[in-house]
Amino acid sequence: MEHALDVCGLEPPEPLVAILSRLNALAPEDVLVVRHFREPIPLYPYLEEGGYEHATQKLAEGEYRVRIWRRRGA
Amino acid sequence: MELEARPAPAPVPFRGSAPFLAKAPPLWLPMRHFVLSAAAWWVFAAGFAWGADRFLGFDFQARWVLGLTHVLTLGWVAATIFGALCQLTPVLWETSLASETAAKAAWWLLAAGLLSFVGLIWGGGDQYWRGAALLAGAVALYLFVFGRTMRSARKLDWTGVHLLFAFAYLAALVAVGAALAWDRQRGILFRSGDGALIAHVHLALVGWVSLTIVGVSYRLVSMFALAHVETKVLGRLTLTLVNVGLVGLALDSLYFGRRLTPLWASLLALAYLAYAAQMRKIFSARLKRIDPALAFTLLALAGGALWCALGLGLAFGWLEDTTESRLAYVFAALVGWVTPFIIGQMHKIVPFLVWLHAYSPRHWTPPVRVPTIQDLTSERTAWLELAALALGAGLGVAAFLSGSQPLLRASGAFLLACATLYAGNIGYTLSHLRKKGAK
Repeated sequence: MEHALDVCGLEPPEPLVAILSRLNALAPEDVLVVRHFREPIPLYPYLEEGGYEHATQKLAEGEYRVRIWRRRGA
Repeated sequence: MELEARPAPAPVPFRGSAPFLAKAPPLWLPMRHFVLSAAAWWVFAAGFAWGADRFLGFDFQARWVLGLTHVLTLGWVAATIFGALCQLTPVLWETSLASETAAKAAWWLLAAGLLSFVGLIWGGGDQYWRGAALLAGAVALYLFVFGRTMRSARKLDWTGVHLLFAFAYLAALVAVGAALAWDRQRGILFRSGDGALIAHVHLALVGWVSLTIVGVSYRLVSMFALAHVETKVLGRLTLTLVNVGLVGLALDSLYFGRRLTPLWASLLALAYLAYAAQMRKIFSARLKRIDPALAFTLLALAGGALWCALGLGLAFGWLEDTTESRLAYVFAALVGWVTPFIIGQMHKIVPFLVWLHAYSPRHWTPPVRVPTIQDLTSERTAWLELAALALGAGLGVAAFLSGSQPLLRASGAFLLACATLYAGNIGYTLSHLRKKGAK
């Protein structure tokens, strides 16, 4: 199941807080789809360490889509 | 959706332990620069308020003015930029800072060089080129650190391209400045000391400081305004015009008797126009209200326009080329354009860094209760700083142009108020580190 989260109107570091706050509730088959205004580089080490995988796409200037899901076995 | 309960994380330090901080430079590397720069800004403002009478009717190379100008340019402007770049370049280029030890050594050299250079100028000694040598050593170390960091960059983004040019101009301005300091009593290297001084000042104000501001603003102002627009068309035009205008002006001033100054001034003014058009696009596309940081940026843009107008006036002869009109020109650049931009960005950068080191936790268990960036700074104080700076800058330019001592004193008082409020506000932000026991 996909869950959408738009953090485009939030100022750093609020997007980071908003995204991380949603992760604990993510079931193994769920995907969090985040709409972001830039590539969230500080987020990636958190995801790696917390057992999540991600894929980031640049859709347009100032528009990124980050898909986050639990790593298998994590 | 089925919610799965996760096992509780192992006990770890809660605050200031975000995983990416392991790669970031230590907090006190940029912060020591910001503390030095806040102190220098206050010393400049206090000196300007206290010694306002010395500015009018004196040669602009007078020791008091020369020393105070370098407190502002080296202590306030350069220290802030170097500190910000220690933090920014690893983030921009997705790599680690090449050498924290060299960056710390560079800070010590910068601080020692500033104290000895200005101290020797104010003390009446003739050996202040020794201070200039320390400063040149500091700059060489910074360039080494940023150059090595840049070499390991995954990609050089648009801001990085601007910084590359800014570093080249920094090296050139230090070479000209050190030679100027050595030659001041000798008169061997430069036939026209005035031409060399003009080259030195413009390599600093336009090449080093303004190109850094322009490059960084594309990244930071867009981020803080939550506005993302294509930057490269007008940006390329700006960069090209700055390079042609500045190199032409510097060579013309050093070697050719300033025959084409109106041409170079026009190119630089056009560059500013293209940059202002780009910033207008960013502000038009913003998703958030004008907060103090963005208002400081708008004030900087107004100050930059005033600086350009004064430059065109001097270049075309619409404004009489006197010591006071030159002081108005440099004052508009440093206090009207550069200072508001710096203060605006500092009111975002310093709270953000403090937040990262004091409040960014390793494990997040909803509901997450951490302060926002706005909680770490006083917005009301920032608005007061803005009002004081706008008045101080405007009155200062008017005072130099009109030769009015009362206006100059009023300008000094407002600048001192701004610097005091700024120091208090930054101190308030830093106090969060102590309260939360951050690393």
